[in-house]
Amino acid sequence: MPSKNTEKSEKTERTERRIVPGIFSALCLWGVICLTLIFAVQFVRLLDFDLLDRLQEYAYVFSDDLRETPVYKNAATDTFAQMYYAAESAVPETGDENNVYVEKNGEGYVYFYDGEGAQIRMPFSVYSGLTDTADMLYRVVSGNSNADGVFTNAAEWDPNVLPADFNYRFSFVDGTVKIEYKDKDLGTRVVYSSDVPGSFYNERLSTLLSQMQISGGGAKITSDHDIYFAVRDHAMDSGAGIIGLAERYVRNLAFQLAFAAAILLLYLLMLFFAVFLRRDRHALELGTAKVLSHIWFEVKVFLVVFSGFLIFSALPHVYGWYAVLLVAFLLFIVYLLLIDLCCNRRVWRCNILKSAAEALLLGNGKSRFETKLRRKCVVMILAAALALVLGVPAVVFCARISSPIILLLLCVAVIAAVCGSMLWFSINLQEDLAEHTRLMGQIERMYRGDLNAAGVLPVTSALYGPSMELNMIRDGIRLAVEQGVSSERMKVELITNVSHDIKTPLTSIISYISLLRAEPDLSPQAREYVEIIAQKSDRLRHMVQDIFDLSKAATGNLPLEMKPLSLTKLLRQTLAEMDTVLQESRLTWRVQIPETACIVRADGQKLYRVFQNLIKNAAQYALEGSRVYVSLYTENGYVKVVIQNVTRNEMQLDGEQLMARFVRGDESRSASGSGLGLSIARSFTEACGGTCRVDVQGDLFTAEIVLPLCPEAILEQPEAAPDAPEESVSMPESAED
Amino acid sequence: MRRIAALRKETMRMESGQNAQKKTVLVVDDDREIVRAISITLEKAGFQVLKAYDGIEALECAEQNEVHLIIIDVMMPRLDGLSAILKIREQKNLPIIVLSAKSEDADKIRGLAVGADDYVTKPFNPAELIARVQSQLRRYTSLGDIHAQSPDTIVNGRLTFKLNEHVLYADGVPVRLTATETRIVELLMRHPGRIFPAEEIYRRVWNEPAYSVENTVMVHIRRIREKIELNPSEPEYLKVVWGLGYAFEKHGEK
Repeated sequence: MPSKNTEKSEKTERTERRIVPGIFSALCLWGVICLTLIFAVQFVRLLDFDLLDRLQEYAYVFSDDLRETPVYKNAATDTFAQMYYAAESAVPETGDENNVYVEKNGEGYVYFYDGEGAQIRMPFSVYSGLTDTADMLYRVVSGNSNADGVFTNAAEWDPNVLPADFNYRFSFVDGTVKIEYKDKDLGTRVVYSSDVPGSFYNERLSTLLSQMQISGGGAKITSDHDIYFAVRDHAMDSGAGIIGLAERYVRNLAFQLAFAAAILLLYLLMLFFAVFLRRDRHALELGTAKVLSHIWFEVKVFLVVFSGFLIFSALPHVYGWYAVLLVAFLLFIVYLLLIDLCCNRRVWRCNILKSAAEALLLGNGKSRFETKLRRKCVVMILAAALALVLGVPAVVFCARISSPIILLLLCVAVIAAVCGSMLWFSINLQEDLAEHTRLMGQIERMYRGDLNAAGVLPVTSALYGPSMELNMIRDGIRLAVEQGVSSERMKVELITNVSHDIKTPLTSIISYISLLRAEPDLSPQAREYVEIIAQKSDRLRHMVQDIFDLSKAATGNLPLEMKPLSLTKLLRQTLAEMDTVLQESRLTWRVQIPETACIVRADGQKLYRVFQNLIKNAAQYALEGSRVYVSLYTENGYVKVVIQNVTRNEMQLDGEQLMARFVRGDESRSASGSGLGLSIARSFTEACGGTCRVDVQGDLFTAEIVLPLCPEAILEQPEAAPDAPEESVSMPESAED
Repeated sequence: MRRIAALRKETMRMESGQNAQKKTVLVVDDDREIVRAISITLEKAGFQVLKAYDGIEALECAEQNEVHLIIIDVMMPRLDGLSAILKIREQKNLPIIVLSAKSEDADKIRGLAVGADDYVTKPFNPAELIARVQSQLRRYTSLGDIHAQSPDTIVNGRLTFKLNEHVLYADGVPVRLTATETRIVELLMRHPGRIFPAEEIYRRVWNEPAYSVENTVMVHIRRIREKIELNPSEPEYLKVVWGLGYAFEKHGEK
């Protein structure tokens, strides 16, 4: 059923896997029900007939000898019995009085006509078999002792005995014909009743016999005669013989049996699947129910009534397969109906009116605002519709009977009503839209960062709720921002306080160390110890200051004075400032700085610190006697400063790890670095808008600072200073200190 | 170090020459050990020391004694350092050096704004502290005419440049500069606050076109610093403006 399949396959969210078993199960169920109905109908019909006899007949399907089947027996006896029933009919023109005219018609029968018009009918197959007398023995014996009563073509044959290669024996005795096949008695049949005139009997038989070339034709055979035939197999069963009849019959029965068995098997299988896969079917039914629930109730009612009407009006007129189809269709409709009614509650809920009402916005909106607007919309539509519905017929009516003036007035009234309702709606809408716009405005102001934007909508407004919610969100944001700011402040304060707390005892330490150093009476040992303490306290001092600077940089509290400056100049100044460090470092410094001023925007003091740290690092940790390369170059709008050196000690850490706080490349020594040098360098560089990268490849240590170029920035150009008065000759020549 | 040594020499000369009266320094800090350490250092340097441990004590001490200089901490109980300075300044004009762990620029400005003359951050180098003390005292007690404004002197804080003599005085003590150094100092002091790139300094002072002069100029600047600054590694007057040049920072007159 195509319709069923398409409807079931346009299913819901079920996976492919579940749909197919579901459909299958439903089909099985439908098949089961159909078949049950058909069986029931057939059963009722069969009750009219002899059920038991029919059932018995089927048993013959399994019997060995077809000749025992009633059909065979009947056919066999019938064949010969028919010989005695002649139909009254016209005699063909050609016919000799003494000859019998044989005519074979298309139905497989042979008709014998004698001169007087009597007729014998015989199946042609039998006739053709019997004309060969070698296959047939006969003996006609008079019942009484009439002398000329014996006709035979086999004088030696004892009619009571079946000769060797003859199988059939017919005995026409006492008005009955008896057939024997070999030894089996195939039955007895009455062919002659006493009501039938004897001449009738005689003539027919004699005609037959003469036709069968049984000599002695002409003599009248009466019921007193006993006639015996012995016939071979093929005579009886040749061509489409009786055995063929029986075979066909039995085969038919067998087919019927097989068919019934198959149907039964199919029935059982369907039943099995209908039950076994019922879960899938239930799922399918639920899905169908869901789909059905969306169909309008009126449509469903209409469809059911219509199809019911169709079916029941057509049913009396169709038979066979068409009836089955109709019934199946009816069952399908019933099935859908049942699903709908069982699974969906209140089927009538989904109807046209409701959908129309929703489409016309009569339903509840999701928010107060929406509801309000919808109602206004509906009022407008209804008013306009009402005006039209009342007005147009009125106009038409008036057009027929009244004057044009009243007609005109009515038209104007209708138009006015319609326009008026629309106008009322749009005016009302303005109000709501204005409120809407204010809310949007408040949101936009908040988006732009004005956290003080208060939305003020009247309590009666439909958007009052959202507006208040927005206010609360804003308050929440403000609170969060304040908390964030205050927590940041606290962090900075914490670091500040801690570093101050450390500085105080440190001050004492340094002061007393200096006093100790000034003591004259220290042993060399003690003096050495004092020096060590002095070094450590100095390192501590640097560390505290570095931590302080680093924390300020990390929390963004670093006071920066960003000015355009020349990086080349800065680097040269730094190198010049650290000249002593460079000289004492026992390294060769290869400096490559171009002449051009590379202008960047940065805080000079901080950048100096950065380069100071990097150069100090190189000086401290480079391999003795090796070269340090300091270069500055521009690339793609950036200026890069690279400081490269070979490290004295093996570096187990990579660049990023080294940059971490308190990590020093060489853990064991006691030099004065604080371990924060690279961290500070990075923080300060980033604060100035650049990047700091450290790379370690084997023993090669590379520090790289990258800053964006600002070629358009103008350096602070001091105005041309008035020339200093020429130095007078007399200057106190003081010797160089 | 040279500067400190020179000052010490001068101070001793002055003291021996003029009134041999020892100057009295009041040291105020709530940390007793620091006060003690400073006192010992001061006494070794030839000062008389009075001690106080909070603002109230400081006020009382200053009122009751003749004090020539006060070294005062900021964070103290009862009355903090800055408020004490304000109170003292109502009546007295002596030099006050603030000693504080707070190192932010804002703190320094605040300290100087309430009337202090100098601001030293902890931890400090005791020798530098002594130098500052001596510098302040010299400025306060030395002959006023040295610091008098006249058309041929340029005064900048504790530095005075006499144009006619081409001599720089720091705290009233002449500084021995070479000719080149003097020319540099004169150039920079004539335009205090103005940033001079190294090239310009070179051009003006050496009268030659400048080429890769950063090192040369810097060497001279370093030497000048060592001679005039109390702490050459943290110069207060002759400063490097990184990326631009050098400048003489303008300091207010007392």
